Amino acid sequence: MYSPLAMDHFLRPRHVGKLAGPGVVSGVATNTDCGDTARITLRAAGGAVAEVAFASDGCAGAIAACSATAAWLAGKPLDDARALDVATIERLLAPWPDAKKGCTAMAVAAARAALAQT
Amino acid sequence: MTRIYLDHNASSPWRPAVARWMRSARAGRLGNPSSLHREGRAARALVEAARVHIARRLGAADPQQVVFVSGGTEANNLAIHAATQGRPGRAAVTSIEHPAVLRPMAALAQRGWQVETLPVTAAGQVAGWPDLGPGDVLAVMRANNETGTVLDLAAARRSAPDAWLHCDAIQAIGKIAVDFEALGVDTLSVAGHKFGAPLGVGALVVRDPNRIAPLQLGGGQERGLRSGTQAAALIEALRIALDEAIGEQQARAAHTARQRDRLEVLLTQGVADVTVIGDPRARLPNTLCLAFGGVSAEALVVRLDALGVAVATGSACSSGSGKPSHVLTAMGAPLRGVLRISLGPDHGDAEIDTAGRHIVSAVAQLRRIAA
Repeated sequence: MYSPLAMDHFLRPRHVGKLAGPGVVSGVATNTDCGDTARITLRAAGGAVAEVAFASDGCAGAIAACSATAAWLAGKPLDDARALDVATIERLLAPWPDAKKGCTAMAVAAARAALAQT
Repeated sequence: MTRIYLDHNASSPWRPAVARWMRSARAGRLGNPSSLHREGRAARALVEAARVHIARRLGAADPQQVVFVSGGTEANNLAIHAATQGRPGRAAVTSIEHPAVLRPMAALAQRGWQVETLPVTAAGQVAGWPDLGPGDVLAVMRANNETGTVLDLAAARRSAPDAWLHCDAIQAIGKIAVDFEALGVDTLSVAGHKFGAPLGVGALVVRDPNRIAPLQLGGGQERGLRSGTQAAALIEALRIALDEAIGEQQARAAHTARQRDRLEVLLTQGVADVTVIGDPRARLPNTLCLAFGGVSAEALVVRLDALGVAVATGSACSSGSGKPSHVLTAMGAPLRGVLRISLGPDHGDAEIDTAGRHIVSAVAQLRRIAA
């Protein structure tokens, strides 16, 4: 069902956790299809994403999408990071199952909500 | 990696005797049971001998009461089709039936039937039986596939002594006693792959075969009740598997229940925020349905699969739709994080303990990711 890279992100997720402290912003999103949630916290410094972390109680697709999103964001200039879209993450994890499009949408929505505060 | 398969309610691997038969030269040489030549006669003899044997094992008085079909969905559809040939009346179905029963029952409404869905308790038992009369239809499964709850067929029959009572016994055979006459039902569905026969073969046991109206028309096999060339090799495999499953049922059930209980203790003691779902007083010996708070069941199943343990989600969202299980919804049970673990007949202590350790570890990992 999932690509080898998606499985790798699920089984060995990158950037798991929750950042705290000055300058940390947080974005939360819910997959309305199933109730899964995702939270992305990040800290910007020098015009780029200096640190990023995610948490999700979701399915394998949700965790893989959040992990891939966090990995993609890490170190990105903020202007590039704000251009993140769902297609970018789905291309990274391709082939991405149609049934899991809500997961990528949720991960990207959480990232955008956080980035909107930077 | 040694796999630990704990999804026998979905499909149980071929029994060794079944595998030997399916790989035998004799199975490969069978002709069409309707043919007149020696190969055809051999196939027909095998089918009819299996019919006699299976009728006896399932407690049917007459071998002609056994109709061979392709599996459980066809058996359930054929039963409901047969039961509803008269003028539209009342039909009732438990809210926790398999979709292969729920959907044909729901479709009856389009033909003018009054269809009632019966609520269940938190344990999955029917909360109240309807008052049905002659010509009406009641569908009650022997045991639920998701939770293992064993339903009270005697109460169902008492509530509707003159109604057509259909029993989907697919999850029960080989796990608890299933006797057609003792249950007092009118039709009973059997699916071979749930107890170690290959996929693609099952049976419907019917009290009065003259009342069966065929769903599919053609060559008139199965005395006109189910057209289509009988799958002689599969039917013999069904006989072999059923013979073993029912023959060993009592001895195996005790062992399986012990191993299920061993796993239940490991998991309820090893994991916080876990709920056991089902009826502790009436549960299939092989089934353990658990809700783990704060995690996704799909994530658990995928992680466990990678660790070599095959289990199922307790929901109907295998398509990824996220649609919650109608069974858990009807019971008012937790809908997230629900695993269905269904044991086979032969697990040893070490295998159960390994599976338990992997499940505890997978839940902990997912909770760390969710925190």
